[in-house]
Amino acid sequence: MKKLFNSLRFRFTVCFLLIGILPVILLHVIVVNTYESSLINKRMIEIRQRCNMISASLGENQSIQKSLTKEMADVLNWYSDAYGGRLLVVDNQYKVVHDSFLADLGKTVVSDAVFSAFLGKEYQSFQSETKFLEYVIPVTYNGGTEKTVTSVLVFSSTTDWIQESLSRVKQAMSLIEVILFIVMSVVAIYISYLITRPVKAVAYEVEKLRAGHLDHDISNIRSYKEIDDIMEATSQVIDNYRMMEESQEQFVSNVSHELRTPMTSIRVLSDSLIGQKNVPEEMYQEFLSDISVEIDRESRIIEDLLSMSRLAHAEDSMNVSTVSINDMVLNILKTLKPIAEKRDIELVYESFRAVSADVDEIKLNQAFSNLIENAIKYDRDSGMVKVSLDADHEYFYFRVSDNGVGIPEEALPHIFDRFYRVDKARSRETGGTGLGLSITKQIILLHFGVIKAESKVDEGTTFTVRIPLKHVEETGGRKKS
Amino acid sequence: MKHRKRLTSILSLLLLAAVLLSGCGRGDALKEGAFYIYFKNSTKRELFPVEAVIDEQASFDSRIASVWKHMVSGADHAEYTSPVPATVSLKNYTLQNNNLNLNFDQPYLSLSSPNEVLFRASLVKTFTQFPEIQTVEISVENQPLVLSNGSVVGPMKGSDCIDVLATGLNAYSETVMDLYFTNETADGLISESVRIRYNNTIPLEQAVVRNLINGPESADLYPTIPNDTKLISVSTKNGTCYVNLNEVFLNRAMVSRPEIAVYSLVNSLTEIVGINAVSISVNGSSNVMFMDQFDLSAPLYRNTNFDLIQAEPSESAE
Repeated sequence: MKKLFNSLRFRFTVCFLLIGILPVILLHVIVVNTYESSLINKRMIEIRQRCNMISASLGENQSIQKSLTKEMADVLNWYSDAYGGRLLVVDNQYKVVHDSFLADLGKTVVSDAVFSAFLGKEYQSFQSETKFLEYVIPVTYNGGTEKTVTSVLVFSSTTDWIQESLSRVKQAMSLIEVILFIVMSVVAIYISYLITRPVKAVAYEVEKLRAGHLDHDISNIRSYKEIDDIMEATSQVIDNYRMMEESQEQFVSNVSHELRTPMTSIRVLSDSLIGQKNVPEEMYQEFLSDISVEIDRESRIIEDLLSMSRLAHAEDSMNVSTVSINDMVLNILKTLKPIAEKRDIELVYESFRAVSADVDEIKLNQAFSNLIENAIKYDRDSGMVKVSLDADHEYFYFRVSDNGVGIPEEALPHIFDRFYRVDKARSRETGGTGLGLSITKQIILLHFGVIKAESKVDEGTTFTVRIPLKHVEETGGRKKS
Repeated sequence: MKHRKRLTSILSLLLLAAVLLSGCGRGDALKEGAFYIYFKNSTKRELFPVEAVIDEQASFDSRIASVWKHMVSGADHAEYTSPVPATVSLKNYTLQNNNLNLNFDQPYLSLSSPNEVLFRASLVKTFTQFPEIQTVEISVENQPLVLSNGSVVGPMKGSDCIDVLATGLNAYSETVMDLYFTNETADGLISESVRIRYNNTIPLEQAVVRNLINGPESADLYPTIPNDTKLISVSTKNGTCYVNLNEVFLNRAMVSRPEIAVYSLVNSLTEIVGINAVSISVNGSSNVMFMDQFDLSAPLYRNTNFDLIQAEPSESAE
């Protein structure tokens, strides 16, 4: 049932029906009421006028009995007939002296409206429950020294005739409403069908996608603008997904290639050892140490791969604590000093202020170590590696620059890609896996930071990292730069 | 949702309270068989009936005393007060020929006009409810009450006091009339005694015709005119009652002999005092040949030739 209620088609049909029917019903009610009131008003005005005239006639004599001649009685009856009502005249002893129905002649009247009329007050009313019109008016004698009320005229009538004409109108309107309802229902259902047809068409196309035909082109399906927007976005999502699949396939093939290369070297080296007879011991030593190097390379690649895959789900396992970045960098420099000294590279550390930030110490250590290690690796002999650390009230900035071989401009956008190496030969010598920078970038991203690289061939490279001081988890930490 | 439920229940409680607190006032139907003491309305110059419990087994005098006591001092409600003026006291009373004569002291004559009438009406309407009392008469110092124009008031029935307006205490009148219907074979007229209750703003003639159209109460009797006939108008002038019906009366005659239908109307209406003749018209015109046989153009007089035996009395309401 709930499903039906949520259906666009159902809601549209209901709305359409209501919009069509409600105004008519409203009109019906208003028209009927207005008609009724205006008829009643009109009748009331007529009655008032007649009664005033009659009262004037009756008031010509001081004694009401004198005024109530046979002719006058006939006139009174004529009027009460004409207006379908009852006319009574009550004398100042509150006795009924004239009754067009004759039934209450001589009876005593006890009525507030009549008492008030003897004090000069008119009374009129229309009772909406009983539909009776009533009018009570004093008969005043103006002769003599002062005005006296000699009697009171009471007129009352039903309004059946109004109700009857109204009932005709009401019947007609009800019939119209019923017909309108039926017609509107049919129209509403049909139009709602027309309106939801394009939506259904889209659903059909998307169903094909769901079934697995991911190359089904949905960007050209034309429907309502709102749905077209959705379809365009979905089309892009699918394209992204397919690109991701592609890059994943590529990654798998890259990985297999990378893993195979050291294996191939090991195979060649060990085969040549196996194949030769009387291999001298030095040769064994040499070949085995080469094999050892290849094994180390393989290990490093596998280690890096594991790092990468762990980092992919690392948002949950970030171990954030407040860390002195200065201390961390000093530690890294201490560890890497021997490597730098080997090639006579000077390590310079510039710290503008004490920086303390919320970071995952282990991960960030890995990232910064990687950057400094790269700078040393690709630096000239006797060159310089400068490390600087600064901060403002929101972020801290870590910069590593070397004056080594630099990175060509075409390569610069790709250096953070997995397994990307500018100079394959070079990095094989230095023992690189091609994953270092992508791991570093991933770690920086996990800290909601940014990493940038600038370089000129043969002049040097500078890596700049910016990380927020506070690790804002909730909103994903997307801060405007 | 919860709030809306609570709101509607509060509203309905308020409505109920309003209905209950409005009490019995103008326009409320009085219960048959209950005893009402007629007090005075606090805000309007009208009577305010309040139901009272009277011990029917007690003696006449003790009942009179109990009612009188209530009338004098029993008004403890905001809406009504005692109808008995403070200056007046009841000296004694006598019951003779179902007439209760209430004897008041001199100050009665000094009562101002509307208050005196109200007081008198409350006395009459209250005490005529006693089974022993049919009329109430007022005396002052043992002299019959006389109006300022010199006429003697005399004994008054409960029905002699009326509120002429449609929603007043006497908005409805009741009377017993003989209505003429027919039998299964429609070969004659049979009268049925019917108690007709009708609003004061319509004449008795109208109530009679309506009841005829609605048909008989008794299962042995049959109607003479179709029950969806519309009564357009009815009025009496100089002893002749002019009845205007719509075309259903003509087009769908229910009896084989036109006299049966016509005289059921005429005889029923001539039962009313003051009506001697009946003129029937259809949609305003009496130049009509009813059932192609009966000429309606002349006034019709009561005709007992078709009368058969009388049926059982029964009740009917307008």
